Amino acid sequence: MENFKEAFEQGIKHANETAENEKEINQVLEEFTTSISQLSDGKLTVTVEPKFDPQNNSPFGLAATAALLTNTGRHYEALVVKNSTVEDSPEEELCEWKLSEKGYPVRISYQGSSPSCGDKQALVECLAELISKPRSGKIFKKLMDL
Amino acid sequence: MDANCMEQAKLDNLKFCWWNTSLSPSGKARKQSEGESYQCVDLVIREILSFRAVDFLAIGEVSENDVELLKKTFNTTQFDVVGCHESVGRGSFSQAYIYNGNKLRILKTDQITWAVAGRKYRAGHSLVIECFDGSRFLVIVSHWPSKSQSENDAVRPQLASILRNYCIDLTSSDGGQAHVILMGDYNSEPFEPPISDMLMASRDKTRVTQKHDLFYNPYWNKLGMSECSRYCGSYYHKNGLLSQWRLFDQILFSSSLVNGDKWSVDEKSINIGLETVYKLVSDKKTHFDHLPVFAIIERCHGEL
Repeated sequence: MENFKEAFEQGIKHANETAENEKEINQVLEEFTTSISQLSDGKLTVTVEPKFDPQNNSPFGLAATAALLTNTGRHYEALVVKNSTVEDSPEEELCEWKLSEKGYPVRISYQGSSPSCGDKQALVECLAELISKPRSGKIFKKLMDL
Repeated sequence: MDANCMEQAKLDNLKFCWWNTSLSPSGKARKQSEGESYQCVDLVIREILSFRAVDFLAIGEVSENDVELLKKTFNTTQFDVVGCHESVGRGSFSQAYIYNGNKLRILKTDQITWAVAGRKYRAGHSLVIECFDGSRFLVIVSHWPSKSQSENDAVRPQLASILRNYCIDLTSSDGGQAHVILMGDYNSEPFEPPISDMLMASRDKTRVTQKHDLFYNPYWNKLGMSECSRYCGSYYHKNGLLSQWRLFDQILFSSSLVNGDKWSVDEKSINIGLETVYKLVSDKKTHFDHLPVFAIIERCHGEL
């Protein structure tokens, strides 16, 4: 039993750290989605959605790179935005969203940029930078005008 | 090249080169002897492209102004020049690519960065390149933080990890492997943890063919003074305590480029240095301190 004691304790420690990190990441994400909703007068809803793009329709991100290089698709998660006040609102991808095994770093990937965020402050800054881009603004505007 | 020619033509090999020019560190031109330095770099680049017939040359430490001059130089040739300049934290991407436009084109680029504790660092700049026969490769060009500041010792392993995870995530859901070529000035030698442990770039070609998530580092072969003449490494450190030479500049390959399936690294092509640059580097009056590194990948026999 002694052989496995240290490894077992290590595993529990890592699980606890991961849970802590994921809790913090979810809090940032919740603050992000709430802010987008409030700033759009309750119109825009951001969610994390599973995606698969076998046709390489995605204009950005690692999934698009993988499709270009392997000619097949890849499953991934993305931050997706839609106008929840409109029935059948189109969904637009803001960025790919990838948590590491222990939560951090979180990689967001969009249009020529793939920052990996190593802590809460970095994640907040990277999400702020993401929505400040012209492409994000155009998506928000298009959906809000529906 | 018209479509028919493109379909009929066969690509036998691709020649790559990386060189940290030392021309404009952090993308800012040096104050002294700016014009003279640029002339030297211009001559070396011409030599790399013409006498070494390199198809894809990545250069580091160049300013936007340097790139504009290079664009003018190669304006009427088959070579295209593309710069990568963007501030990242306290530093900035300051690299450029000169490639044979008759042979390949760049389809997509991505800046890979790591943000932590209010700082932001450059892990690499990725480029999807497509050759005229449809072959596609991912090239990631990196210039990691210097050893001159000890706090960077903790940064380089993280950048290696970020780069490795990026490459692993390129594997398609059905297991399709991308051809990946990593090159740059890693400020780490082949045996140091960022390259060997974190990026997992191995000297063992057989092991790399068995384990697809390893990278192959042919530059292990360039370590050890007994195998080299006059210089042994890519970086000249005149105040080096035990050695004046370090092998910071390397070109690494994904498993798919050593397993003999479609493309394979030509071991004989793994080279460091040019006589012209060696003379510049060994001249104490100049600030040049890096030699270029070369590699060729060849289409495997029987592949069309």
